[in-house]
Amino acid sequence: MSFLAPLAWLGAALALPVILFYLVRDEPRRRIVSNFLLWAGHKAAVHESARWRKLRRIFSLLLQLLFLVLVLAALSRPVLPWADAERAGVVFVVDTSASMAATDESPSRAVVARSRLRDAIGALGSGDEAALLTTDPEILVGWTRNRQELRRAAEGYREGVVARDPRPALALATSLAAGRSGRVVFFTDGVWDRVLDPAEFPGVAFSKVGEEAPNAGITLFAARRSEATAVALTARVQRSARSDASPLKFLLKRNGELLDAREIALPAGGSWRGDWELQLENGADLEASVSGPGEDLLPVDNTFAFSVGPLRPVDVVLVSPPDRFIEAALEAIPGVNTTRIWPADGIRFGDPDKLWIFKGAVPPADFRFAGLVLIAPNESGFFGELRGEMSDPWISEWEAADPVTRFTGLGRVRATRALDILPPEGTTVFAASAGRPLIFGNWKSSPRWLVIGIDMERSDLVLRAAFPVLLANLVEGMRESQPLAAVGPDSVVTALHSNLPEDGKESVEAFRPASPLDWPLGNWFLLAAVLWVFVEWWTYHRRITE
Amino acid sequence: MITSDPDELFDPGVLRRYEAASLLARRLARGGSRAERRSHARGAGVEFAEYRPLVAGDDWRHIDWHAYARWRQLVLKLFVEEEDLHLHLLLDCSRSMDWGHPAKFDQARRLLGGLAYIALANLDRAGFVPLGGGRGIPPGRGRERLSSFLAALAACPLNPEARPLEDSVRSWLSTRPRRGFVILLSDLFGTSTEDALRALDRLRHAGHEVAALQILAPDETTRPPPGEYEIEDCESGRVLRVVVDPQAAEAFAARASSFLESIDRGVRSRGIAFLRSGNETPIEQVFSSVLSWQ
Repeated sequence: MSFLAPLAWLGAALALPVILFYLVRDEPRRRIVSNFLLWAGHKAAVHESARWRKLRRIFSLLLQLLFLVLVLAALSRPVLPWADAERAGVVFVVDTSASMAATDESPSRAVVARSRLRDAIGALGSGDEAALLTTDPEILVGWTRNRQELRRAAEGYREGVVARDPRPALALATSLAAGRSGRVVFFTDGVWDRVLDPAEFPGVAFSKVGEEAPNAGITLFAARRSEATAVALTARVQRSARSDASPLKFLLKRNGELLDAREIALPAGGSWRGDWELQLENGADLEASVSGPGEDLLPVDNTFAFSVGPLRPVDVVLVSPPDRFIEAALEAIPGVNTTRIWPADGIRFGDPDKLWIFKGAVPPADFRFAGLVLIAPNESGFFGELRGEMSDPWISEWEAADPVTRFTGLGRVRATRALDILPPEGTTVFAASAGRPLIFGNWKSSPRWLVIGIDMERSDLVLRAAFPVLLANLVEGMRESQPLAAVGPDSVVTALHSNLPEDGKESVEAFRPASPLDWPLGNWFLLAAVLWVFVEWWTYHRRITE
Repeated sequence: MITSDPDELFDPGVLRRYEAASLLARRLARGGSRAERRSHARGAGVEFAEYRPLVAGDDWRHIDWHAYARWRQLVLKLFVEEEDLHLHLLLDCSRSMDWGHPAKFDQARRLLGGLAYIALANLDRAGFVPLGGGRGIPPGRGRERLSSFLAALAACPLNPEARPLEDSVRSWLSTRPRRGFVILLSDLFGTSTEDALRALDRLRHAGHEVAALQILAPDETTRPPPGEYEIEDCESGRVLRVVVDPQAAEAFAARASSFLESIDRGVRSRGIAFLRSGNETPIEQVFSSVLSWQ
């Protein structure tokens, strides 16, 4: 026999006061009576035999100590050895995605799923262990036999308002169950059993809630900043198969003001997509909503909103003689504050938060920067060894897909002079002339630096779109790719169909049925202790003990 | 705790109230001189009174054989006889009488003093007999005896020895007292339930008119509180360890009730005038009951 709460046996120390009180118990009170006539017939509870008296006292003490043992045994939550062997492990996973808010089940799928979970917890056997997870994924309760704890967790979790991919939660549940040879029961609205790979999640039992229901909702509402300032906005509206074909009204709002309104003629099971490009340097609150006269059992996916943050300003220090081309290109980039310094002799320490552009010069040693661009450096440095010059170089290869040089079209740039610099090992070469690096550096991680070996006065680089695009790319890289604001609800939310059988009901046999004998052993001990009180009371009143 | 102070023990005001009362006995003892009243008892007089069935202890010489021939039943022919009354006041001096507040012994002595006062005031002969010890007063007449009577009552000690009531009565009867009216004041707690009844039988068989006045304290017959006790008998000093639980208390109450019923039944069957009184019962109330014996 093992005990789940062995510390309860510390209560055995209570036996000491019981024994102590027994030892110091008061002697019988002396009572003088006028005659023995009426007492003579008294059935002498205490026999004249001292031995019997001692035995009776010990018997009484034993009764009390046994009562204490029974109570302690109950509190220590004992488990029989064979109960350990028979107990089952069940991991409950609850789908908290927004589609669980559909009202095709009364009052909602989430409520019905919670009720089923409650029933499943109540049907656990005494030796069964269970854990409870949500698809967030979040472990609400680890392995436990405490049904109260499970019930509290079952009442406490919140349904989500966005889509949840249950795969991580199911993977976690499967790994948990594997450790106990248990099973996984997934309370969901019944799309995932078709989506999930059975081989990936073996042994997962689905307890599905709800039927295919009419719904129309936003399944995608996402924003993405373009290379410069524009925000590309995409929205998708889908309609479930059982919906009617009545027209839907789609509204797009920016900061609460209507930006766009469209009427969508969408057939049952169809989808519609809309795209917008917005200038949102200062950020905005965007909201998309869809409504229609038809039946819609999932209102939660009819509206979706998010905020696009403002562009983060980038401070640029240009160390160069006056250069109208560079300055104009920097000024054209939103959110850039440009400062020009010349000559470069007074520069000593730099600034770790700024982007520094040196033209025809190099920073001193121990110079600190967030980003550093060296245009035709006149000497060697940490960025490479200046080996000489190249005459009539041509850009034979360049990285058209790299965020630094994309959209630049560097292949069309012509130059008559460039510096021949040997970069250090591991440097990324963005453009080269017959294998000799022309533009190279590290712009992926901080501190970023880039060397442009092309002589700008003896090339048409500044006259082409390649140069402002290159600068814009560099500045955007400095913004450390601000996250694009929104990931809208995906199609799972709208997928209100189900694989329910024809009768619309389904039961999951996740555990062996509980029997009355599955009552926790501790409760039996507690019951025995209560009965024992009556036994002691009876023996006392029968004067078996005193 | 009993008292030995006569002034504390006897209240003159109470006694005076019964001065004019007449103590009438059912049966007159044989006496040497005429008294001032007519006896209710029947004896060897000249005026026929009635027939009475023969009972144990009667003188067979008084059987009316003519009546026997007619009714086939042994009866005594009784005549009215006028004699003075010999009143023997027997006081139980066992230690069990030293119980209660006031002590049963004090209550008994007050009653006994009152009875003696009334008897002496009515020209009867009254004597005091302490059962189990102490100095008694032989029957005598005259109010002047009252002071010595009360002094003897006040000085009467308790008997330190546990002795059956029957033995004490037998000891007194061995002195061959003159037949008369015997009033026994006792709690009737003897060594057994039958002890008191046997003592009364001895008095009756000795030819005395017998009356008994049982004095009890309330806590002697009521059920004891629960608990574990060492019960000590105040007479014998014996100790008994008992546990009083509800059942035991119930059994005690049943035994007390049975004891009292057996006393009631015994005195009723023997034709003995009997009164049960509490140690806290007012003296006047007890006197009223005693005088109703006639």
